[in-house]
Amino acid sequence: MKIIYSWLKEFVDFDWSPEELASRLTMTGLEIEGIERVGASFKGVIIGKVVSREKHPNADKLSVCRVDLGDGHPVQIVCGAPNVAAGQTVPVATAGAVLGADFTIKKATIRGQESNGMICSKSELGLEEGKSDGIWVLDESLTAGLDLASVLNIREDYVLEVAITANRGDALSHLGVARDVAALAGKTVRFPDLTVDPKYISKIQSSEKIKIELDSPDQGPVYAGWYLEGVTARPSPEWMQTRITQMGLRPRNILVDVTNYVMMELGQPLHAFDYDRLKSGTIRVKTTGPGPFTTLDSKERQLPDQALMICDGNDPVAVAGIMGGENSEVEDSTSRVLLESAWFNPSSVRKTAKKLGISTDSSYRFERGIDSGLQKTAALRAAKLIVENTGGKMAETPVLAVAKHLIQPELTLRFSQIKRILGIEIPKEKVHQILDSLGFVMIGENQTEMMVRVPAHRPDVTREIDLIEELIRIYGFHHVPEAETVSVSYTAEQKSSYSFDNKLRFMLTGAGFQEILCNSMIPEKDALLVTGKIVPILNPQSEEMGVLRPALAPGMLAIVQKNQNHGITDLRFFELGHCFTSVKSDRYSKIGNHQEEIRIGLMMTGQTVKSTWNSQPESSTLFHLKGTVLAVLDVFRLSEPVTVTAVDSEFYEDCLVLSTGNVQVGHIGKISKKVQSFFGLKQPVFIAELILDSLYSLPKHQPRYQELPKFLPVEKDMAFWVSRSVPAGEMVQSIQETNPGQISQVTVFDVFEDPKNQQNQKSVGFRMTLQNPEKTFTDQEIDGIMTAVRQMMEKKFNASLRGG
Amino acid sequence: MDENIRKVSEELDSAAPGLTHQEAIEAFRIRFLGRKGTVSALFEQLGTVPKEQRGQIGKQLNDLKNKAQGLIDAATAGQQNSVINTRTDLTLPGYPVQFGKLHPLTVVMNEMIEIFRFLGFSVASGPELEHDWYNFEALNFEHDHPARDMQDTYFIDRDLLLRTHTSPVQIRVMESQKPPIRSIMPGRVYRNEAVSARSYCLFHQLEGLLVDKNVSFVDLKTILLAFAREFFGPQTKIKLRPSFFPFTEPSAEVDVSCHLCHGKGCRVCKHTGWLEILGCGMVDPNVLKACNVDPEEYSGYAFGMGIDRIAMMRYGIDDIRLLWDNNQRFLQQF
Repeated sequence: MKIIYSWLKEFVDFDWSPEELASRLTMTGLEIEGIERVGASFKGVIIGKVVSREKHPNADKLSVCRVDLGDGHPVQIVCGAPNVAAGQTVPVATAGAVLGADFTIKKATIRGQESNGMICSKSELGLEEGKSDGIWVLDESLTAGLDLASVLNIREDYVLEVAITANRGDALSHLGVARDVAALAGKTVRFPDLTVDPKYISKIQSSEKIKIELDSPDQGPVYAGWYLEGVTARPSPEWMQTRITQMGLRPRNILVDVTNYVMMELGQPLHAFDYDRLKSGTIRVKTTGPGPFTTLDSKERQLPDQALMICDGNDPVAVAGIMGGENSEVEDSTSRVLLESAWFNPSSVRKTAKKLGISTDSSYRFERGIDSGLQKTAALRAAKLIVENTGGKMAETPVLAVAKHLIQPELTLRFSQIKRILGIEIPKEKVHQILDSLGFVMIGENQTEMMVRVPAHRPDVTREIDLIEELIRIYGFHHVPEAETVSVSYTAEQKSSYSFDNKLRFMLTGAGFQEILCNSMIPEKDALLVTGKIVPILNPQSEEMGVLRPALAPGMLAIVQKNQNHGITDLRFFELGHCFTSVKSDRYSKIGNHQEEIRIGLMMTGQTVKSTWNSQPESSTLFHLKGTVLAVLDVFRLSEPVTVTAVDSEFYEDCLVLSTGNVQVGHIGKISKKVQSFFGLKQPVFIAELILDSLYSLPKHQPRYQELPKFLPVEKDMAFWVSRSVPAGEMVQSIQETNPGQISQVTVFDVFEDPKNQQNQKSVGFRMTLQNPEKTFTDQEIDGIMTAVRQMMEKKFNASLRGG
Repeated sequence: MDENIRKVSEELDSAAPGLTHQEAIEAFRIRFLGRKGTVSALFEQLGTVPKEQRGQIGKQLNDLKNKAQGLIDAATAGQQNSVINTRTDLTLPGYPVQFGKLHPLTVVMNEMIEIFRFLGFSVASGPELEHDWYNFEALNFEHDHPARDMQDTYFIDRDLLLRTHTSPVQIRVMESQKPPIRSIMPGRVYRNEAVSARSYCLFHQLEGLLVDKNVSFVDLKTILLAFAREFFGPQTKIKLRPSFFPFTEPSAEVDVSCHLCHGKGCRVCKHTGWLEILGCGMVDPNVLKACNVDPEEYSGYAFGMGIDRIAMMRYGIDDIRLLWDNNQRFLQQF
């Protein structure tokens, strides 16, 4: 919201510069986001009379004028405006005048004709946004030679942009901000003049002209109307137009402008009806059913059910607190007016405005809660401004209907609570002064507490804690000291994955994986590659962020592609993040119908070992990733061993599922050709995802010390020819089981397929580590173990010893 | 004799540049210092020198011998160095080991978490998909109140939404533990705001909550100053401005003195000398009540800050989207 410096001064005395005012208001909770200097000084701009106008001899669109600047010696000025004419009274920027930031007017010769200044338009003077239609034609009663600034009462001024928090509806006006200024400065607020010259008051009472019926007392409990007649919808006086423009609105006519002006002045939204367009003589405030309604911006809108409407009898003429209707709007011909000044229920206005999808200056204020005691006063202020500036007369009294009295709460403030919450005492006289200047009324006080009545303009204050906030807001947080020491009371650390998450992060960065963070909102088509059980967002920003990610892979692949576009193709990434799927069962801790789990994803692509001056590069394979993932899983110290099973998958072309017991804890895979081309990737990508929630909840074991072997181990290699279809993993396990307690480790050191081998066989080489904790093996014992392994291999896998 | 010594000395000088390999050095040694070498021959002539000159000539001869030996030693040392060079060029690069890096947001987040853990706070977390109750209702956001407009929300259905702040974890913590509570809650949050250089539709927050007996604003200010000095440097000052959050009362925005210009004003702090980094306040009694904590018995404070903006300030990142583009060359900088 905007606040005009000079306007604020009409309500309260203070000596602060605009900058000082801004910083003080900011420290009370009304944050000033900017200060704009407006209403330039107009030095050198004076009133002139156009004595004559002729067409420029050398230019079709220019005129050569003789303009009297008050000294009786008209000067020649070339003017380009189409509307310039002899007899006009106009603003003239004389040589030396500065318009705007740095446009200095000089004597000039324009197409051969001397020009001694410039006849100005409003926009050239900075009084109108955009480009004006032509020069500004002033009231002809103005005397030539007078300074424009003094004539128009335009001074240098400042517009302050205030950020009003959602609880401070009271500060959405100059009066409201002035209250805070008064509390800060220890001054009192001055109310605008409400006395009306009797010549503007008629004998008529508003109640003779209109009846008010409040059919929905909860939504619309207070309604004041003021009847005016003999008015004209002429332009507002310049000073009012200037302020309205500075506030960012466009001046219309005085009937409309005054409603806006008083709203910005006092915070009460007003509406002006053309009285002659109201037919029934009764204003009814009531909720209506759904239906079309055309608002004064000429838009037909669909009213929601239960919208509070202002009705002319039974016909809606305005959406209460939001916008008037086209059917009763004031027009150029309007001469009789009904001013509306009402109080509507904030949440009722908000609901209707939300459903209509509109927010107006009026609804914005009603939603935040306006002063419920101001309706009559605001109507009087507006009526006065209209009749004083257009002639015409106002009814002697308004019509005021109150269906439900809004009660101002009385609150008890315990002095001990100030100390308990703020940690400091505030001197009692300071407490009095602050609450008093903010409009709170003292009802009673004793040693330990006081009782105050909340003013009608502060509906946000309903509890003791709200009063304490008011006190410290004005008193200032700088009065709250910091303690010398920080005391730490011991509270047991709750179960948190933070430390282990970080352990994983550091391990993976050590293994060359770069941490990335991807958007959790991804395109639906990407998510569908993973699963059909996706969670769509009701109101997505775009299709690109239409659903929640069901897995980390799609986001990672999109990032791989982005890097590929930058020529970066050798990558190792990991990400720790939440994934979301829709579920039917209650298997996991579920929110609604959705499952949220925390995963860690690993990705490898391109070269994993770079070439050096002494070695060849190595490309990533599924086995690089498998090795990393199993090493990571080892760190969890799961009680049950992890089993790895190959499965079919559409997303992956080779896929391994990792489980322990019957709980799936993750998978490893090489993305399928289809997925690779979907993401436009030029090379294979390997991805693993581990479900951290599962891994954290599974039982763990503590390591127990085992006595170190006293005797050296013996390593023995054996290679077998075996059918290509026999999995190495099975053979390793079987070898291990042949001589329990004697073969401590079996690894595969070589896999070889002879392309000329017709029997579809492969050679697999096993390295066995023989270890007996009790003694050293004799050659005989070793031969015995080897024989057992060979016989088992021949029998179980139909293998034959290579070179044997 | 003088003349002979001078001649041999010149011969040494002229032969010295040829000492580039082992054979040459050996030949040099034999020619001058060998049993039949020229220097040895001169020593043999010493007996013929008159007695009174013998001391002085002897010294000259010793110098000559030392000079020859010095040249041999120097050439041999040089020879050894060059021998090593032809064996192994130690200037060749080491085999590269590329560590990954943590994402800059993780770096900043971890640093903050460590400070608060040191100050006695434990880490808590909650789901990103939240119920209206946790995200708004229990946090004293009334229905149909403009405060609900403060945070543009992504909805999944009428009740479920993507949390707009980490504050719902406050409620979850208070539901599951009794005071005293001393927790921090880092996490990802979502706002339905147009993506630009300055704002993204998701970001990270770190929330703090302390509930105990006799907790006051003094305690809040104390912990915030301690944090600010640990994170931004020991000279850091803080300034509190009144503000509004539905779940705290009184509420304040906290500015810290700019760590770059120390309050003098610079581009980063937009020439104000201050950086707006967090919001805080005393836990609103309605929030305590919603969690069955008696506000007459317990009081507490809460604070929250946006990690992404602080990371951008720290590293001079001028476009928030860079944090989500995950360009390898960007990520390797931190």
